[in-house]
Amino acid sequence: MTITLLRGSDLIGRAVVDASTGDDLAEIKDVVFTAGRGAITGFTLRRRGFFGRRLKAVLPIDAVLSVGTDAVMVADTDAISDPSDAPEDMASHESNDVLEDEVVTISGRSLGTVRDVIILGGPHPRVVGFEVGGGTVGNGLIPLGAQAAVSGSALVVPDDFEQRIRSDLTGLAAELSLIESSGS
Amino acid sequence: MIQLSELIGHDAIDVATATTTGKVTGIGMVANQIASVGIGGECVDATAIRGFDGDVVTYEPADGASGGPQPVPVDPRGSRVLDLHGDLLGTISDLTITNEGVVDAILLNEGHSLHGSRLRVIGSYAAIVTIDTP
Repeated sequence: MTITLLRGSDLIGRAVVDASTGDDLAEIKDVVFTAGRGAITGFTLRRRGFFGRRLKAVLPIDAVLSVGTDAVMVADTDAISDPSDAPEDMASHESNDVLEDEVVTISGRSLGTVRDVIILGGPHPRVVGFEVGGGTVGNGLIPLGAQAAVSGSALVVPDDFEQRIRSDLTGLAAELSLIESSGS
Repeated sequence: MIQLSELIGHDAIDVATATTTGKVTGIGMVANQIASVGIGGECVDATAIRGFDGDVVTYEPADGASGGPQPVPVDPRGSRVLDLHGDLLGTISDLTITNEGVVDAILLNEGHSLHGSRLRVIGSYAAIVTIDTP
């Protein structure tokens, strides 16, 4: 199966499409996920109401058929909820905002700050890495491994992560395959 | 077989009155079967069509209520084509349609084609097709 990796920022504004009608229902406003595990719990949305008014809505991950290269697919209009009806695990997404968090190794070397999240697309989307920039080692992508500790302000990675920074999504995909095959 | 591009713009003639009522503007689909045809701004049930692969489209207007709401006819050329994963496969350049009104092939502007049986729906955002299983 082909691994589709997407930057979280690329998902912003992407259409949410009803697979039963081919109509777009809303667009992605933000990705909500649990930073430590990379589990996406859903998406916040913008949708058009009457007279072009923008309405807030949410899309719980259980209602997502797939995250594709062009659209996020849902089975029908029932997939979209009012924010007040959002599942509990979507409610605390503010604390999982990792953008601009500092990335440091266990020995204290700063690798930069988190500039973006990397998402594995398809039927079971999840966050699999981070894009780091602004540090002494330059811009790059690091996989979200089981070893990473994440707080609201910093992301701590093992010392050898500095060697595992990859410059592009292809390199990150290869690194993810290594992690999965080693079971780490 | 006929190409959609040959059908769109054809004159349509009401066989009951032998009058030209307008031009074909689009088709409405249920999966890969044409269920309705747009003629001069009207939505005509596909079962009323008597011939569409000649020089003109001929039809016999329904004299009563139809069997329910028909899909709104559109010209799908230029529509993006997504599979159920949300991946973009291309944009529609044309459709090949059988004499029974079934889409046999979806021709893409990118130079390749998809089997018509993969078509699920044509919507305002995209035509949705099933996942290609080798």
